[in-house]
Amino acid sequence: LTQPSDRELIQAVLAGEKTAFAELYDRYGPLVRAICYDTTRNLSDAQDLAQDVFMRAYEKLGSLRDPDRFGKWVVVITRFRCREWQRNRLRHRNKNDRPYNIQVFEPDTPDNSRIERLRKMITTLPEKERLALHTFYLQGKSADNTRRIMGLSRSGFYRLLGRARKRLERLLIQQENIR
Amino acid sequence: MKTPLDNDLKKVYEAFNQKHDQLRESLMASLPGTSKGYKQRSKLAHIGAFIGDTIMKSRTTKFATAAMIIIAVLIGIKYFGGPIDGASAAWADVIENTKKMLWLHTVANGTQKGKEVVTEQWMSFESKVFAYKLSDGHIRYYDYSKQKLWEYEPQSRTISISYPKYKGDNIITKLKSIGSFLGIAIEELTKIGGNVIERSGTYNGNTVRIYEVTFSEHPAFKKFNIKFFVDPNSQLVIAEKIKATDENGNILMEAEGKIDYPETGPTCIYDLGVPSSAKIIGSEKAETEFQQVFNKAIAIIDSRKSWPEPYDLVVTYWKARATKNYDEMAILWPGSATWNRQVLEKEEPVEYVFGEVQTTEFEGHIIVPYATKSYYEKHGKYSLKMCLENRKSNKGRYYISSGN
Repeated sequence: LTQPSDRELIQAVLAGEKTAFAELYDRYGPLVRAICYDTTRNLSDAQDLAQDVFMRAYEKLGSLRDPDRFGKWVVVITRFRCREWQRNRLRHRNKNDRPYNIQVFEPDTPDNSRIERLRKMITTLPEKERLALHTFYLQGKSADNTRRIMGLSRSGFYRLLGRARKRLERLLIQQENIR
Repeated sequence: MKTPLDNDLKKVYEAFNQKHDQLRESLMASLPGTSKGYKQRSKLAHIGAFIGDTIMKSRTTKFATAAMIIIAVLIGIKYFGGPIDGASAAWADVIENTKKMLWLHTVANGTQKGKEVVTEQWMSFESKVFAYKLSDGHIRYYDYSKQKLWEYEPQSRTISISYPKYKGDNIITKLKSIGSFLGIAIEELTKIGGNVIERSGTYNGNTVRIYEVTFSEHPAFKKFNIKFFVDPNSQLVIAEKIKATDENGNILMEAEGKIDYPETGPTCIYDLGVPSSAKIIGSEKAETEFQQVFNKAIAIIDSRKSWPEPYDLVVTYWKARATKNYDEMAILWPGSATWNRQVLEKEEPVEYVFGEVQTTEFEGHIIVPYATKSYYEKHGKYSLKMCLENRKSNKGRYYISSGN
């Protein structure tokens, strides 16, 4: 059996099949969380923010003109929501007030693992390169998926991905030298 | 060829799949019934209104009961209103564990305007019961599956029975567990302006996680603060504290409640200590329309000798629904007796296909997956579930308890 397309799932949701939205969430949830992490740099906040993004997407689904572009659309909502989150955070910081969201006071995790450093390092890459990495590692490697989300040709996407990797490698070497 | 960087990146991205199933369930539980920007009243506002309309009639009782923190949360929500929006990931583990609990039992001590109040409360969405007793001897027991309320008055040693009817959406009947209730509570509090802090701390000398919700501008109290204490081992809320002050900092209400999760709870008002000699005053009020339908269904259930197997029962139900046979629908799905028949009358019959019966982790519960024929033909899978129970059925028959 073939997987239903985004368009079919969206039509099902709009027809009242709420569970079809769970499938859209399965497809794009990790990607949205990764984009949110670029802003929050905290997994727990990223998870919360991503939930909020999907709530909005669900509420506004009827306004999506081209259901085949759901992936790109949800990425746009995510970016918008992340900017809101950032503004909110700054506002509260300026007022010397707490942010409205849940704050998790955990002991500082030792930031010494390569994986953790790499995760933080990705957040410093240019936005397009970050998105290329996110889609490649979370959306599967089909050219169709990436084209839908990034609006790039297959070769354009791989060029961008290559640049992102090279930049990461350079950053890793620089950091190793500093250490 | 895979490079070490490739392998590391794979590990980096594994983190974004963490708790995915849990988060999806949490999100799905928070979604309103329909998309397209449809606005609905806050779920907690419905529950708060439901409890306010049915159980807490007098102002005194309302505040006394408010000392039982869970209810206080509801009252707070009732004042606030506001749409439900979002699903907190940090709270997800607690909700998951609490979902397995059948009953929530709270014993709370507190002061309200300087007067000491002790309350004990039971709540079960499985058994559809809210009950509490106050230190002054007043006891209430509400069975919302029958929409029947028993109230004990200690001075006159009398029990009065009534059938309060909540006119709002029937969301209370859709709540399946204490966990989903708590889940809604914290989510709602965060989204309507409550400032929520999660931190480590101690409760009675033991290390706990604390979720502290503070409102600095509560319409009824100047400052309103609620703390949930979560046991890190069981991941369950074990205690709560509430404090409300006026604009001068005077304490209007302060209470502390300890929570446990017994497997059983009171089955009638007498289980709460009401003497069997208590006199029932006034004749029972006329039965509501719901009660009439429900009683009729029960009578038919009692007279039947055999029942269809679960799969056939589900098919029979949908046939009854297509032919507008409401009595039969209520027998097979007692909860459907409360549905709006005018809406059902307008409903166009839909052709469904059904899957094989599946067991669940809960004893006495099974699931029959189903989908509209068109959905199944298009996607090759079932999108909906009928949940069946045989709890409390002395004939061992299954009945439908939920349709999705």
